Amino acid sequence: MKNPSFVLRAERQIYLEYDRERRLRLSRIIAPVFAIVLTLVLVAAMVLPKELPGTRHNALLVILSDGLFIFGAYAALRKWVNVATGSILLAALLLMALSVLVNQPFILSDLFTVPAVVLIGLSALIGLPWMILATTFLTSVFVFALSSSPSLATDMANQNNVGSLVAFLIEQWVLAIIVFAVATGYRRILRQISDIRVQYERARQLDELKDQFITTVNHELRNPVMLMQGYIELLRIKGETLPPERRNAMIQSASRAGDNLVQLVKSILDTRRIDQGAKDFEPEVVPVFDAVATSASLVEPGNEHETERELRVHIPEGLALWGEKVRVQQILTNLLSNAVKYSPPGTPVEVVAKVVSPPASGSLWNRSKNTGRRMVQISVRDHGLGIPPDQAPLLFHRFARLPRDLASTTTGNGLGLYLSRELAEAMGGSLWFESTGVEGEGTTFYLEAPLPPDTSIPRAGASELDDGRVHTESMPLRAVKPPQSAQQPQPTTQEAHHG
Amino acid sequence: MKTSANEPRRYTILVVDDNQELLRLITETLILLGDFTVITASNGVEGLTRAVELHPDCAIIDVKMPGLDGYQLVRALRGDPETASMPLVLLTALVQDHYRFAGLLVGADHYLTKPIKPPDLIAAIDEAIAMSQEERISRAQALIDEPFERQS
Repeated sequence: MKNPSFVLRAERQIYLEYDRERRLRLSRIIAPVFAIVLTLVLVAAMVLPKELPGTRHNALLVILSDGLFIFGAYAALRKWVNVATGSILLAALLLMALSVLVNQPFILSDLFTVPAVVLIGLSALIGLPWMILATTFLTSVFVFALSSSPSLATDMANQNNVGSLVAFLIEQWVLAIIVFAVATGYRRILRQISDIRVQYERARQLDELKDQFITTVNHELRNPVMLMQGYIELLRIKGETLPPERRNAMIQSASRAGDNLVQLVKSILDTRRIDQGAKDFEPEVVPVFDAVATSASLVEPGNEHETERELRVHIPEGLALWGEKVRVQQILTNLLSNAVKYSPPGTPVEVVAKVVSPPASGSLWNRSKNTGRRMVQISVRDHGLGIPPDQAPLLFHRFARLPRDLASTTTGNGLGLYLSRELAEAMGGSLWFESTGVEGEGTTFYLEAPLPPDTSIPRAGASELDDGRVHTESMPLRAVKPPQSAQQPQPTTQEAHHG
Repeated sequence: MKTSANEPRRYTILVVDDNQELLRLITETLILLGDFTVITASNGVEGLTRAVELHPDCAIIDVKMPGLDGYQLVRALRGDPETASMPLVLLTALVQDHYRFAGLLVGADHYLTKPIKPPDLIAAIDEAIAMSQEERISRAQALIDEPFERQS
């Protein structure tokens, strides 16, 4: 089903989900911590010495700043970045204001310890080890700056006070280092758990893809096998009694079924190769005209009913694209084959190539991924039945064929366009179509691929294109007539068949 | 109905399949090996119309078809009093047990998987035609009564 980017998106989603779960779980812990801390600070404020000026106001400021610290941590967990930043800054400002009011760095340092510890602890829980060190550093700078204030020179002359300050700073740093180590280990464990979940999810997805692939392949192979086996059995049982032309018709039908089976197996293997090897892309300069000419020669000629069809080519001289030659030819062969298969005999097929500038707007089915880089656009147009708009979504699905084609004699395994689009996208390009669905107006498929890098072989630049040196010619393109109905029994829905 | 081994069988069989090549093969098989009269239809709606109009002796129905699929066609035929007792054989590439169970549950008499050899197909048609209505009903009842695990 999918290419590596699908798995990578799933991995990212798992990490995001796990991260979100963890943060929400932690945020639920913070709510009671918030309440407990507030209560403790309130109690501490109540028992502060009465001689401290404006104690009640100071207590309220401390409570408010602590509350803002914790709320900021909660906001950080919920990834409300602006709210978290504002809360923590406001809390810091309130504490600074308090320090000015109280003019007591030592009591302040004690009061500051509580929110600092809370913040450090929360940082650890959040899994941001750097925040622990940053918080401790800021705390140290703040306390050191405050203690250096000239108004506190008298207090700082007391060695006991200096000792308390130093002890506080050492305590903070020791605590920070311990918590940093714990937080780092915690984060590593979280990462490992996420890795395990990712691996499990990847294995589960690949298992689903494998089952789906096997189911699809199993189903698609059974029809051609039954055709081959059925005709061979009929020939074995009744061959001698059948007229030669009927025997030959059965042999041809069995052979055709065998060819379709081979083609189907090759397409399926190609599909798996693309799914697995999308990253094994080795681009080169691919001349567009040569690729078109080669692809035209590879269009399946069918059998003795083949006729020639006109292929009109309009390609600037020297135009080249950046891709893999074999893949480009595979895409073009598929597009040309479809153009021939799904258009009336005698109608031409047109191929036009040009350089386009981004971005191209278009219909719903225009999946151009042109992200700003000039691209080579190759269009293949037929004059057939077109594609009904309501059936357009089916076209690029694996094994999907339009109901109109299923009911017709036109053969196909439903993998060509799917493969072509995958190949185009693997080269950094895209594949889409435009069709009105009106019979006779046909369908135009567009293949876009990058221009070669500037350092490679010279490509067609704008000046050359402006000069109008364009390779225009018509070449024969073999086509397949609808099979004649005379030689083999044709069951119809208009009559009953009798033995 | 066949009365003896020596009498020719002239049953009319309706074959419904959206794959023209397979339709051709099955028609050839029924004509050459079964001596049947064959009516064909390339989609479910057409199959339903021809079944109601022509009342064939048996119908061979593909499952995966655009529009009305095989399951819906069987259910429609079983729901119409005029075609309710028609022997119905599903012939499909869907081999998983849950598909088979679903096919039998909607009322098919046989669920055959592709590829199937021509003689086996003829034998399955003979068995479906030979099955009496009482046998069909008791078989359907047994299918409903049995747990799904035993069916698979």
